[in-house]
Amino acid sequence: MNRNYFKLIVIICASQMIRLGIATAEPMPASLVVTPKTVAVDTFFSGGKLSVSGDIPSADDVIIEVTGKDSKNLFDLKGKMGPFWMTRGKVHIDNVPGLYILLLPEGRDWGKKIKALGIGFSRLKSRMTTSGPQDIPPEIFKMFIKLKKFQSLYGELKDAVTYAPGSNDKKHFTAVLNLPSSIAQGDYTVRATTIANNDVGAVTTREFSVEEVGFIKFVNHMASDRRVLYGVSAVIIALLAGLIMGVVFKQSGGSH
Amino acid sequence: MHWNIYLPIAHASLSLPLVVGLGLVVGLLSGLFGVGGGFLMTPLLIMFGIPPTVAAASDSNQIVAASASGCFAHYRLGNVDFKMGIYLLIGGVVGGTGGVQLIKVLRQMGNADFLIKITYVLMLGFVGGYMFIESLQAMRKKKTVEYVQAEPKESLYARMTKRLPYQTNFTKSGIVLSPVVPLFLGVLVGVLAAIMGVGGGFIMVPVMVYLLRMPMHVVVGTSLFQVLFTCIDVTIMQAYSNRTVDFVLALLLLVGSTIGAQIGARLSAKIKDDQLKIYLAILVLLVMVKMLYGLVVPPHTLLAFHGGH
Repeated sequence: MNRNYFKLIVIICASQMIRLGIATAEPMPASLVVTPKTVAVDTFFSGGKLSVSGDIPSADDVIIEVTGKDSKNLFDLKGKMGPFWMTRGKVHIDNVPGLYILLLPEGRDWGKKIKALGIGFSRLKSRMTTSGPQDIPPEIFKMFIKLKKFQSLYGELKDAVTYAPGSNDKKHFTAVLNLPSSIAQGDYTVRATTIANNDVGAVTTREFSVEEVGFIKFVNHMASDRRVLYGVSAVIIALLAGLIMGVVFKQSGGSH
Repeated sequence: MHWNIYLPIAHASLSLPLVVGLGLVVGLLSGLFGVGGGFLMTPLLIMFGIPPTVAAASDSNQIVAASASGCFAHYRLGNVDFKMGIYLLIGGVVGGTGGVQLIKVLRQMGNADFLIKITYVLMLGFVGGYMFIESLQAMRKKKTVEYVQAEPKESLYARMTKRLPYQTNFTKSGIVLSPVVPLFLGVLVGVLAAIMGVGGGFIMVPVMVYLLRMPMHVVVGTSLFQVLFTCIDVTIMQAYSNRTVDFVLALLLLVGSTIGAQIGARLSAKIKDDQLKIYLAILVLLVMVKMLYGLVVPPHTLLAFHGGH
């Protein structure tokens, strides 16, 4: 009996040692710090700054992706009829994030490389699904990216990750992302992928959120949960503003 | 210090002086011509990145302030025919309600946005063109010696309206007319305003001038009275049904527009009727050209968010 226990302990120990051995052969993940944890959308919000930093082995590179949650989208497809451009149909584009910004490291042209590594817009393309009552044009993905880029919600930014020497055979990376003011409230993911020996290495992720605060939160709450009160208040304030302005102008000289 | 402000419903950040400046310009036009300015402000806001539905609804909210300010200024000048305004308003509400149902049917049929735009172009082209030519002719006539003051021939429209029942004296406008006429015209303008998503001031003004034969200065004040109530209705309905009224955006716009409306009302008292008409005609034609341009020039992307204009 004791012998069996001993065998079992030996097997467990051996399997753990093998696991540890494999683990040490795995690429080393990047240490990753994202600040702030919460981006506050206040009255004077005009976009936020997101700082991403960490350490990676000095021989590696790191590619950072900032993504929002997947969303379902309904779009109008435009086409020409006679001399006029008009809506020719509708298309659903699903399984694509609301925000996707890729931050590429300095000192190298990553265009073809990221495609080969399956990172960037090419990965989005493979995940995206479309449906609609009519034929969907083959260039739909390009059109979608163009629209999202126009809104500053999608982008591939070159030389956005900079390096500085670190300690213990490591280097320090830093990236600062200007989040667009049109960013939606919700949770977002920062994903740092190390590139070692021209191959995808370890992946580290961190979360951050975008939240409305103060007056902006109050207005949205009123507009969503107290709709009639919100509408009537908006009218009363507008009426008062108009009439007060009328009185002010009358007192400041009148129009007669 | 940066001058941007975040708009909570539009989810966009805009320059504070830009928004107030836009309000000022459109308020000036409102006080000057008696139009709500929605036909001008909404496309401008869309151009600056505000979602179309939010732009239209918030604009209605700010028009409440601008038209209240303008209406008050014109009331003090004695330029509001309340009796006529109420008849037009009743017709407008009935027509507007019918128009909302019509637009629902059009949307189900597809391509409603194109139909709205082409209706805009045709209406603006017709109204602007007619006003421009008519005002130009009137101005030329005044410059020449009036040889014969012949009694003008009564048109079929004038003869028909005279035959209608309940002929009433509209003292402020100096006309005798059956209330059936403003009620009917109010319905027509209401339908068009609902389809086109605007207060209807720029259609109402020519209707008052050419079909009701009201004097231009009374037209401006009375039109603002009608626009005011239409936009109160639209603001509450949009806030309740679609959650598209951005109060912060409307508030900033109205800071500019209420001042602009007062300046416009004073300017309008100093400008001759024919000049006022020709300026409005030019403005209407410019907006028409801009909209037509948008229909024939390829869009920057062939994909657009559903529900946009």
